[in-house]
Amino acid sequence: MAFLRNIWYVAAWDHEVADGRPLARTLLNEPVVMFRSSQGVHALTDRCPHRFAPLHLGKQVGNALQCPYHGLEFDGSGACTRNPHGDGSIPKAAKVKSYPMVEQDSILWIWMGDPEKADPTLIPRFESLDPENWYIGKDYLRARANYQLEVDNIMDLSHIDYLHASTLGNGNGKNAETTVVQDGNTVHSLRLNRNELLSPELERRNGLPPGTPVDRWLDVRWDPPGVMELVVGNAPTGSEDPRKAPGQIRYFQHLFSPETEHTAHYWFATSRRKDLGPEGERIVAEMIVFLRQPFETEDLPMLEAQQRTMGTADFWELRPILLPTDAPGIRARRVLDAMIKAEQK
Amino acid sequence: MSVCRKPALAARLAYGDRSEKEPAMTLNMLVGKFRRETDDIVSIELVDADGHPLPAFSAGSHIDVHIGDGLVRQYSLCNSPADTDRYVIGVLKDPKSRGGSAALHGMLAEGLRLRIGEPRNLFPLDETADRTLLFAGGIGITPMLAMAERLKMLGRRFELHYWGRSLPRMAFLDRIAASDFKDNVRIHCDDAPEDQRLDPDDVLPNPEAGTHLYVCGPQGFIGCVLERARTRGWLESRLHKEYFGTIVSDDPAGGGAFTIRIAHTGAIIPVNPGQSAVAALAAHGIELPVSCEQGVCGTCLTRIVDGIPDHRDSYLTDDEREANAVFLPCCSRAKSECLVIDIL
Repeated sequence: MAFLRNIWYVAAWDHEVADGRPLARTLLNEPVVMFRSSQGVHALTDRCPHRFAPLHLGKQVGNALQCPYHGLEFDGSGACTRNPHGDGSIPKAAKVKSYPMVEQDSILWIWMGDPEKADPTLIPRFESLDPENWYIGKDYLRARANYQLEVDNIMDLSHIDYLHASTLGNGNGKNAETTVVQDGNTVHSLRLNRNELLSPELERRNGLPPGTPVDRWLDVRWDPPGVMELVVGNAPTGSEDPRKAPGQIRYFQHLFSPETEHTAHYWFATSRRKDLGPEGERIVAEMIVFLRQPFETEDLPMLEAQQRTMGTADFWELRPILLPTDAPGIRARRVLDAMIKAEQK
Repeated sequence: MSVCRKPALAARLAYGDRSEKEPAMTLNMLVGKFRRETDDIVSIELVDADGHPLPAFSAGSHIDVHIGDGLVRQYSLCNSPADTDRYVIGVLKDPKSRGGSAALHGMLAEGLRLRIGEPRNLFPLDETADRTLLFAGGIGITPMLAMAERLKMLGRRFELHYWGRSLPRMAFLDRIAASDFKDNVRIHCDDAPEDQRLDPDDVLPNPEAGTHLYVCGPQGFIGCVLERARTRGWLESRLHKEYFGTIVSDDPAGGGAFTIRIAHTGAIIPVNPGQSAVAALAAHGIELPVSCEQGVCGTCLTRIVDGIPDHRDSYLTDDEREANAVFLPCCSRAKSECLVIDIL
């Protein structure tokens, strides 16, 4: 299973890497340490070239990371800036790999491919995660499952009625229509469910009187390799185009990066426009706590069980029987497969 | 009249004639009389909720019926186009339907409110033809009744042939027997007298200028009639069809006939309207591997040597779609008359 290299991956939430507190994470099987200096955020190979100690166990000294074992210091470019031993001369080869890193829309984006090609304008925008204008509730989970299984999970929300029967589901999803729209390498999963009764919990959280039928849409925008914005809206049932009818719109973000072939990082968030008032800050904070429960106790065990069942086999090799609701997830997989193939040519 | 009438008129004035693709304005209707025609077919009379006259319709027209839960289904109007106070539709509770007709059967009651679209006609009748043949199979009788009423009123020469499995399962026989046009009708079914158990082929004449053929009914019936007519040299311009009294253009599975040629053997395989390419190939002993059978999984991916496919799958990426080098024969069709494909 190959990974796409020349693409921006999510490496962390902005708040996960605080000044003076390096964060270690494995991405695409490579150990990476991130830290924040006066020059911005940096990502280095998390391994001192001297005796291979993990740099993240060291401490930040000014704009450099100091190796915890013998004190060599490395700056954000990966260059060794200090050798405390002998005459202090720095061997030419004493440097660590540095990965291009950009902070945008509350996310630390990392480029795992050819640094020459790391164009920040290629990063998909998440305006709903721009902390200037939005209150954002953010959280993180690690999954012992391939990140594409995670992508499938979000691209096909028909699982809600089953996996989330007692939390997010309402048993009314069977009439929902799922369509797929491709725009360049972006794939949209558009799901519309007419005349739906939300679960009592969701009715309460959306301020709907119990038993209010709504037309609800759940639209996902996917960008490679696995970053998604889910826009959920509802409008009083019966309008020609519910997406254009006056109603409520909620924003959720689901971001996945491979840790290894069979484990993944999962960042999720929900956000509210600041101009809707400071109440929004409390709402997103509560909402993200609420969401973590089904994600952690319902989705995660399923994804990990799926992975165990699949073992190390490739998804296509197992010849999945696919349903119409799989169309968007399959398209996303195929777009990604084509990009990986093109990159390996 | 419902409040929707005026905006409809205004829209027309502002933008000229609306094409068939634009959404028609909706009308608020009440269910008037309804009648169980057979065990699984009910005829339903719809009247304006406020008692106003209804927009006129031409023979062959259908209406969109909003059944609730976002379901919209099309039904042909089967009453006389001279009626201005009601629309009548015939609804078959089809076990294979996607739920709309069964739902309508279930909630049917006098006074039930229903929202419908204004009549549209995708199966228009050439009223100037010297002779008209109406071939109806099963529930396909509905638009034919309106056509027969109209042709009789105009004093035109026509025959209506109506096929069914058995008399008790054929709707509207009483109405036909009591109609002005009863002498123009021939009923064909398995339990009819010998001389009436005729195949469409038996009553289909050779083509003659000025004669038009209209076919409506199940896909297999239409495919069979049209194939025979084409074999006998009927011109496409004189062949008219509508499936089940519903509109195929709204149905992703529907579509016209085309031909497949197998590149290395030269075998030619006709694909009938509504039949999938996979099914047509299987009927000729060529079994392609399939799994989802609805264009999601890509199992039946097939290479195209020549011709332009009409991609109806969700599997191919936009680039692959534009390249037209492969297609998914489980659901996709052809824009060109012939597709040359590369299979062994």
